[in-house]
Amino acid sequence: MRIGRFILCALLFFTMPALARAEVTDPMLLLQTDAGTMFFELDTEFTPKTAEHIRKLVEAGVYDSVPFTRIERDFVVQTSDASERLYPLAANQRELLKPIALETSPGASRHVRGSLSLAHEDGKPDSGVSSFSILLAESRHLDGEYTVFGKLVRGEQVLQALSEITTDEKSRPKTPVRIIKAYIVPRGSVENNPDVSTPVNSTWLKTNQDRIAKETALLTENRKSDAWLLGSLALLFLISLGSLFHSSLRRFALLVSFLSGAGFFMTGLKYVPLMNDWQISLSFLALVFYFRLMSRFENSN
Amino acid sequence: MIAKLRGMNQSSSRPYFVNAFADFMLIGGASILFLALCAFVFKLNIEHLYPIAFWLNWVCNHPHFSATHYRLYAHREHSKLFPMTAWVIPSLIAIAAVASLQSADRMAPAFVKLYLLWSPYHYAGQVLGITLIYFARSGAKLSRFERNLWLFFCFSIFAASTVGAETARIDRHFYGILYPSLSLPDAFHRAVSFSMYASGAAVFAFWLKRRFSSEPAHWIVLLPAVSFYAWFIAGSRYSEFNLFVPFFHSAQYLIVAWTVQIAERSTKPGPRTSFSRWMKIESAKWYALNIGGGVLLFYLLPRLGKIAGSSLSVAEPVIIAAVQLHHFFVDGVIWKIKSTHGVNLVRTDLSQSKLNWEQAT
Repeated sequence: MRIGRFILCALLFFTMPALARAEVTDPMLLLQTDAGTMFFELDTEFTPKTAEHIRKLVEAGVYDSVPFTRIERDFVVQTSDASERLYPLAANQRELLKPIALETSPGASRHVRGSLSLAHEDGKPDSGVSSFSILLAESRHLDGEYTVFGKLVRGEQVLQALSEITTDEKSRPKTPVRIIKAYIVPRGSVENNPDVSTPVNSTWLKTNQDRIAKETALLTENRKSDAWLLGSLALLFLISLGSLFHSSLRRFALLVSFLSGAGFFMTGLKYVPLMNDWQISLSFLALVFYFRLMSRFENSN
Repeated sequence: MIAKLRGMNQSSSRPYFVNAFADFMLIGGASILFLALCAFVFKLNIEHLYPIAFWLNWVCNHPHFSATHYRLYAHREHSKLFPMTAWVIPSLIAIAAVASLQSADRMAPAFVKLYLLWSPYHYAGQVLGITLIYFARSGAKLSRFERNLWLFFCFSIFAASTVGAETARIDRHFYGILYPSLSLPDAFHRAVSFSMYASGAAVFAFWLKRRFSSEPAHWIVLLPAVSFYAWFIAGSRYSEFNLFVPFFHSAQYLIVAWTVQIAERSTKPGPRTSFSRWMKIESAKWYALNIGGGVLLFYLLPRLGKIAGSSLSVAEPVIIAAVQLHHFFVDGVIWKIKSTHGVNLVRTDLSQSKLNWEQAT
């Protein structure tokens, strides 16, 4: 028992300083976009429910790959609904997409440049879900109509770059521009992180175009990668039949083939988003089958 | 003594490894209580929990990997019994790890992904194993159908959790190594979730049937699977809870490993002292060795990755994945080893070890 008590005391000793640390009270929203990185302060004082709602969405990865679909110079840059993002939403992410009521109060922030404003359907102030705007200019007529839940604190150049993107007649950007990833970070990381600068310069557009070109090239490799993946899959199934036999040499051959088969399969994973649902579901089941056999390896002894 | 040892294989009305409280807490009760705390009592600040999780890693999670390796390599007869697992598999994994260190952008993500998919599967295997041990220890005889039902339930919890996570088409990172998602379809997730709930209801119905027909149906047989459900399904939305799942898994593992260690050592003649004192010394030695083993596997080994010309930021995740992949192989066989008297050691308990020790001493 003394040993147990000693371990318990040691654990408490090492963890007490951590428990005594001050609570992080200033969550910041970091938006990593194709145009660069921006930091926003979330208004947890006057719009606590909306700030918490956005925080949950960000932490669940809902905003990752969400595009900006509306850019009106001298007015707003607006994200689309989460459903329009590049990758489909997972079940747990969809669960979070529930409307939130309008939050306004006399002390709440106004619609000025850099404000984060939660979008909602026309005439339905309590229908805001995930789409939001970043204001490019003061727009007092929106005060009280939309929830302002944060403001820009760093990344003015990025916001300027976003506002200068050319758009079509429906204010949709001609060059796709997305939130690559959104994070909730403590305030200290804004001031102390020298790496998170604003990497915006005239080449960002070119970089974006390069990325699109790469994605297009990947699509053309689709057929080849399908054959590669299905080939490894067939190999796994064929070899698994050999597991019925248990000579040492055969087991060794089986092991090597299995590990290399799994290796080929896993390295082909980058093409997986291009497979159809049946192929990918079958691949997963094959992997589980593989785990099962490997867990039983040498059990015959 | 052999007769007494053989007695350990017979059914018992006392299925615990240690006692009701210790088994309840370490096999999963503590995790369920902690989840209830996270869900219903108050929201814990995850920032404050990181250091606790960090220390628990070193005192519980890493030693549990070490315990497996200790059992395989500290006994020459064990490594002789499983030569592939002891020598061939680590060599192949080492080759794959070196290739991953050399090819951080292509091989390393695949290697890490393989480990991350296999890991929850391994959890499911452990839960099933402990469930079946509890059934055996409580004197219950499972039909083939009932056994398969339990197998299906445990692995469908793994499937529902993994498929759910793999429906998101977002690349995630493991210690900085970005790895791809499988991007599984939502319909597949719904199907495996349905299978999980259906098989869960079925195993519970069978358990109730046993209860009403006065067949052995101890409450503790349900605990491993219920905890597993709490870890991967009910608790998945609480990031502060997720942080401690590896700890709960390793605590579950260590209680079994420790009982086996004591059972095995108890049959050997020891110094004339009290059983309690002997057990404390044996436990301390074994635990200290495993703490050291954990440091070797998870601190020193990644730093050896530099020899392969890799930076620590790549070597650390790759070596951690390699160590754990080997653990998955070893774990599949190492706890099924019987004692020299043909006794399945995972079926022993502390009181039986005490009797053995008294006989041997």
